[in-house]
Amino acid sequence: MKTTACILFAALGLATPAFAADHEVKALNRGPGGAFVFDPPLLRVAPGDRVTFKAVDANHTVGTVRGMIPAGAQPFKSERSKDLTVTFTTPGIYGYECFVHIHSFGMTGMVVVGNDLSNMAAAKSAAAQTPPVERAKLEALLAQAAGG
Amino acid sequence: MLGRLARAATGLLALTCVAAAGPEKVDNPADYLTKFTKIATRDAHLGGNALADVYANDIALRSGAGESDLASGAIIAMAVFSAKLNAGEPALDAEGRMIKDQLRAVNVMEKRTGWGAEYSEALRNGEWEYAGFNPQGVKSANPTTSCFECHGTLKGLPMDFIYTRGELAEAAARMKK
Repeated sequence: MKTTACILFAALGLATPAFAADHEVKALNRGPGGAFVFDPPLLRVAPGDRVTFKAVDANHTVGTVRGMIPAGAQPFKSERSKDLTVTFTTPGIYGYECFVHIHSFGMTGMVVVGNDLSNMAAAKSAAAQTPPVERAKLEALLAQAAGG
Repeated sequence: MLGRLARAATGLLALTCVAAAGPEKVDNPADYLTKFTKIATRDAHLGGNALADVYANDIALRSGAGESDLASGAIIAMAVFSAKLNAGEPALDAEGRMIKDQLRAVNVMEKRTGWGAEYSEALRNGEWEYAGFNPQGVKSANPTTSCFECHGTLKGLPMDFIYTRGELAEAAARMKK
């Protein structure tokens, strides 16, 4: 269907539209990175893509880290143990966390939208104000995001 | 007919007892500010405009070194404060931390030998019970199921269902020096 649509648009001399992709991040009690993790911890998406944060295991939340979203973007926050789907339209770095498990376990993750890392400095500043375990994980994710 | 009514009443009474049994066992630790030791602070408590100070009593401290389970009589009290706001957003101090506004609640977890037997294994948090108190020390009538569910995610970890177990161990180690 996508191929047919692309061919049709090309035949009409129109720019081929980008189709938004769907992604999934799982909130887990036990995962590849250890206890209380988001999998994958770092996700790169295109502007307009949707990410569903799946409450695979109960009693997690997902919400943006204060100060760790691009200018003009909207913060998001789920209810405990509920899935949340977010459409990421503003390019940049988004840090998010589980409010229940940030202090003791640093349960945190990152979405990078597009190739715009212009809020990297603000993101690092925001990470510096988080609890130690979370700070270490966020700084590692930011280094990974910068590495491309 | 009377037999059915009697059985229904017994069932209702049993449900009431199970629902009320937990928080009813936990007394308000009114002297926590003077008799307990503060072991941790938490900004953005549960992601809201709130912060919390966590306190442990002497039994919790004396049995809190390392990763072992705490002794019977251990009490952890968490004083939850609203955060001062500035144009709807939390005001931050020079270190980027939230600033306390008003005490909103004192949430308590207490452990005693034999407690917890009323609960299903899925819900049970060892021998811990939970209760919430308002700033005047009046016990909340709200169910404590969510306390069990959140703390229950720590089941199987060497934390004895306490999120601040690491800070407690550090405080216990300092006390021994």
